[in-house]
Amino acid sequence: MAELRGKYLIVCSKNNIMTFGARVQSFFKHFFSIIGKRHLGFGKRFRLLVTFFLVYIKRLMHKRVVNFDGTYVSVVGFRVYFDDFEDFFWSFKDIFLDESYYFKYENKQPIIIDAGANIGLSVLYFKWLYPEACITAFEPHPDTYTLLEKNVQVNSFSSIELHDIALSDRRGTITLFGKNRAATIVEGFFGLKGKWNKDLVENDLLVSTDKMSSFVDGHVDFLKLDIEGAESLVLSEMYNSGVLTQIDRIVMEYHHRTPEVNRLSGVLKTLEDARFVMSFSSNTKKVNAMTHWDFTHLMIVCIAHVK
Amino acid sequence: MLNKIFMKNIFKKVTLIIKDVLIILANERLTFANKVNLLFNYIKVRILLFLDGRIINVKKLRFLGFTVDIVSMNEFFILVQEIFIREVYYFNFNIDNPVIFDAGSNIGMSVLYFKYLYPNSFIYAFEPSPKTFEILQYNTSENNLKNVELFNVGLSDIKSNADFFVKESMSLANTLVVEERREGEMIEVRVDCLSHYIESEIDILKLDVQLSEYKVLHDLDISGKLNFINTIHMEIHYLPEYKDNEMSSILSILEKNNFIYHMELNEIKSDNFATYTLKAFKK
Repeated sequence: MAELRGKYLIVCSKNNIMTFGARVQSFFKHFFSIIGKRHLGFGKRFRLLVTFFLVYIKRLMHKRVVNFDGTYVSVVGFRVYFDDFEDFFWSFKDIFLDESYYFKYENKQPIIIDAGANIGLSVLYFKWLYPEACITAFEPHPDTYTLLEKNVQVNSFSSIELHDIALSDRRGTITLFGKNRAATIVEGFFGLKGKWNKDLVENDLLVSTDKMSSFVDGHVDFLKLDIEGAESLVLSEMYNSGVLTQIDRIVMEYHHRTPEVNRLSGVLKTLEDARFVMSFSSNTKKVNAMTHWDFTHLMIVCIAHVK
Repeated sequence: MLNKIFMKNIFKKVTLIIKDVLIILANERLTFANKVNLLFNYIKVRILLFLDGRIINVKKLRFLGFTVDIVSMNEFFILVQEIFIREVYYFNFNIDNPVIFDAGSNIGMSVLYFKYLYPNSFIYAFEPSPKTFEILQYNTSENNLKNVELFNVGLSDIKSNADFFVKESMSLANTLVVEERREGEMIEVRVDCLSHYIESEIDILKLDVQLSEYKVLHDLDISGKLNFINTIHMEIHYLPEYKDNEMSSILSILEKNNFIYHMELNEIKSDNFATYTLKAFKK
């Protein structure tokens, strides 16, 4: 069973599961969804559409004609370097096509914390929406962090702070399991260690951790939390240190069926205690079509309650 | 101006109809004949919904071979869409005669659906409102449904009488909880614990009790009757201001009793009132 779960979580293998029909369907779905994004305005939509075609064509050619791993793609006018093209593609889909992290803000200079920035596509997205945004981004994996730094420098963004640490409930060092989009500090996150894909386990390395509360001073408009299984640790630390009340809006990816420490009821309890109003959407299949192992992700959108 | 709004409404309705039709056609579980049958019935209901209030007043109709008495055509259509088209209560069972507890049956569309899926099932249905209970009774007796037992009680964590809020226009939203709907007529109904009715194993517990989910589950938890239940299919009503039905406490009961669960957003309204569909299996 653990193997089955692993298979679902390795983002790259999703590609093999998709049939030709499903691909065509998803192409048209995204095409129309971009056209329908009224909040972006005409120029942004056009740029996104061009990027979308470019990425799709590259994806068709990837590993058939050319290997794009380790190159770059121009995304809405920004240059994005990446390690693994499939990984980049799924991030791009989540962030730019599905717009999981979209938020509307009157103030054109929002303060954003991006926990789990990966190669920086989300940073790019926020800068694209709000060019004057102040962003603090966290990424623990050294290889990914190098790419993140490169992407920020190449596009000459200002007012961005980068930290190569993992977020947790204490200061120190911790083992990081896995790499790329799936890097996590939670042991047993991908089933029992050792049953997980072999070369990922061999890539375990030591990274430094810190508390979120040492980086937050004052009001935060938006917190993006995508930290692969450590959600409960970080949120409870933020709640206990009183930082959570400083935050206006959280969009987090909660990872289901992770070890005991990260239970959904615990995460929700912390958020309820901090008086957040929540809504969830599961970004997997319909509940009806679900088997026991399908439900792994849950997008939780939290908005601070008017006190 | 008026014309524009009118056109927009028509466009919206047409897209909704196409969506429903596509859902029926894409249903892998149904055979072709079943699909045609369901499609035919759906179109019939749509036409009646259009005619209702304009030319005729629909009180009773035939749906999928069942005779159904209804409160209003609007409500009936919502139920058909939710239960028969989107199949929110669908559960794949290998057993032919599952035991089903249906808490919050309303006019009994869910009972009919369960009987449509598993004709040999045993169903225990609970409905507090006297008015809808009468219709529920009629719907089960008129269609000669066997092995169906009906109870005219509301479900809570105590055995007593309680205030029940009945909304004239929307019987689907009747509730025991004051915070949810302040408008509407107030009547007194009998409430009881669900645990008093459970003695042996249950295959499906369908729970659609407007905002009393936590109370029902809590009662089942402390009486130990949750161990008898194999699968739960419930609708969670999330109202941020109402502290007695917190999402985290509902989920922690399920986690404590070794349930694996999935959930999905059903609909969200402007005042943050949202409903979620949750399915839970015994580990």
